Amino acid sequence: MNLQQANFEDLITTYYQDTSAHEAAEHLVGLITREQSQLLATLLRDYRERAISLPSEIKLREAVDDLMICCSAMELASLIGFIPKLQQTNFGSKMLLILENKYVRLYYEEYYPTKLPQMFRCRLAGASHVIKPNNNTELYSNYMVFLALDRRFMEKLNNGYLLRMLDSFTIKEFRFSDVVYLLSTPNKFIELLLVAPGKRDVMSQTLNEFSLLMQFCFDLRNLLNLTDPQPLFQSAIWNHYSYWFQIIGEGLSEHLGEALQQFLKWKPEQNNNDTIELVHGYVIEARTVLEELTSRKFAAPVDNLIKELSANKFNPVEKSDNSPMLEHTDRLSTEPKVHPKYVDVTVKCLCGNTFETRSTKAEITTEICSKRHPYFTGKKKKEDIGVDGKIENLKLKLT
Amino acid sequence: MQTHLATRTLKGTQKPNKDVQALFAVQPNRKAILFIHGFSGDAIDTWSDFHGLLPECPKCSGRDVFFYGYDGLRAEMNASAAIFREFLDRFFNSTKILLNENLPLSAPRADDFEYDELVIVAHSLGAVIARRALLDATSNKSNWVARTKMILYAPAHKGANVVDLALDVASSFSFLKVFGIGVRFESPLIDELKPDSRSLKKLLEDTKTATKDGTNLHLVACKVVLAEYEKIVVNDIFGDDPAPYAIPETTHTSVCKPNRYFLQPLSHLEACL
Repeated sequence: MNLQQANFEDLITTYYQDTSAHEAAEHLVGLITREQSQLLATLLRDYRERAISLPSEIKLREAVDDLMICCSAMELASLIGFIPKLQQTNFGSKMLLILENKYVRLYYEEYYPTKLPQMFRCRLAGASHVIKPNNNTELYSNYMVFLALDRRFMEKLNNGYLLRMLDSFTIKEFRFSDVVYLLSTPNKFIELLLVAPGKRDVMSQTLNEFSLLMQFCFDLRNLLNLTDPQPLFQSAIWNHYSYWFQIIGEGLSEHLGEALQQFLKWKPEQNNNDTIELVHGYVIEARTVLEELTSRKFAAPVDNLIKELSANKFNPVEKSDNSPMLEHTDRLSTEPKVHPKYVDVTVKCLCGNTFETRSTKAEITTEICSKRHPYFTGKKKKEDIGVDGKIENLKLKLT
Repeated sequence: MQTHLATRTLKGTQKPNKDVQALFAVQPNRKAILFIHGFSGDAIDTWSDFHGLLPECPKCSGRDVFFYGYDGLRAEMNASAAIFREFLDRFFNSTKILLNENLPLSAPRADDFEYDELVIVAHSLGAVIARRALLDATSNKSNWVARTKMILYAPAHKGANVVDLALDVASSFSFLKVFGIGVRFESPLIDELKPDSRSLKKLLEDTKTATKDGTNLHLVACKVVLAEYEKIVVNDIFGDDPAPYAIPETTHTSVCKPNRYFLQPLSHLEACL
């Protein structure tokens, strides 16, 4: 048996054929080979420039996201030698054609900066970064755990309601704030959790996904802890979920933290101290896990590798400059005078606290931060006073 | 050293909560392990991290591993058992089709490949389903039953508190049960898993009849593992099952969840292989 080839067949089925990634690949290859740069630029535009609202566009962009996830998974597998070298294969050539395209690169390097597709592009262009582990069995075993975890994420969460809500979408008029409201009392929440899968409405489905997502976060944190001896592998696993934990990580952590906070309002019968401790213990641990996952704690090894690759012949800008696509100029060109630079910046709060992030601004000052905000300090309670009749509206929606 | 291919969902089972996940061995030895979860469980999550640890276990390296999923929340118990029995029928009698459908082209098996042994590892309600399925297969004179054996974790065959069980496993929030008093919940299993229920009494009677005179030993568990802090199922010995082992510091749900720092659930399984 050609084991690496068998592994590749598995991954290509899971991440390419069984998702819309293959449709995106065909579509992009068609546009690239026909040199339809304007269509490419429009499809892969920065959403901040013009919103993505047409259903056909949303579908295609979701397919492109699936393709990026596929590239990310292939890079992770290549990193530990789980699959054969893909440079000279049909699949590899097709992916290189796509990943080297200027507009595709803007998409995954600038608009939604994800690192594994960048590493995968360098690999397909000739780089050969691999992890040489001390303990191969443990590395493969951890990779198997990752595959099972990722399969669960893809099947149960990736296309679900909850992550869309956390990504600022409204699902059938419900937003994440409605989920938070439902968490304020135990009975309704538990009843909705117990609704049979075939009979779930948006809210019961979302609450089930909330439970699954929290479990996923715990399991991912545990897996990342297991991979401590292999920092690059660990960093690559974390980067596989960087859209959720980095690009929209701050909002995700804030929203989920707000939801978890609701559990603290639950009053057990006879104010049982053990139960109160149990709930507080869970909420504290869950928030610690979220904080850890949305911090940049696991980012460095992959960041450093990308810098190293950029410093060599895999420099993204030079590579792009040589691309024939750069002969076309249009409004999405990364001209220094047109687009701002995305740089490391220190945020300064009036309370004296500072922290690092990335922004197009050179400096950021703020009046409030997590050091002082009552939500994070827990010293004051946020009162839900039902401004604008929002609670009444929600109750109406639920009845 | 990679001992198993990546986890895959068997073709035709890609339905929520009814999926069968498989880890096919790189060097198969014609033996397999099948995990069947309990009430409201999940094919793999109930057993987490068995799927990560098994490939490292020398005794498992050549075994195919399956994680069987079914509707463990609403489905009627005997119906679940019948569906499981049909799956086992296909597993033993149509092995070649099952493998061809699910193995990558680069990892073919010999044409005459079949399973000589299947160890069924069952948790909670899964133990009742597995036993009922094997009993019915024995009555049907399915010749593969003799190739099976059972290892049971916190089995529910002497009854269980289903509402507590539902709240205990319906979510990842461990504290939920404390607040769940009085919530509306309906399931045929509430009656079916009562300690004196007709279904459980019949299961015991049928098992005793089938195993009298020392026959049909596949219907007697190889090993029974209990949780020290069991609050969901009744821990009495069932029929001719052996005296149970208990894992300290575990609950009904944690008794079948090994991890790298807590290997006892895995060790109990290994000892039976």
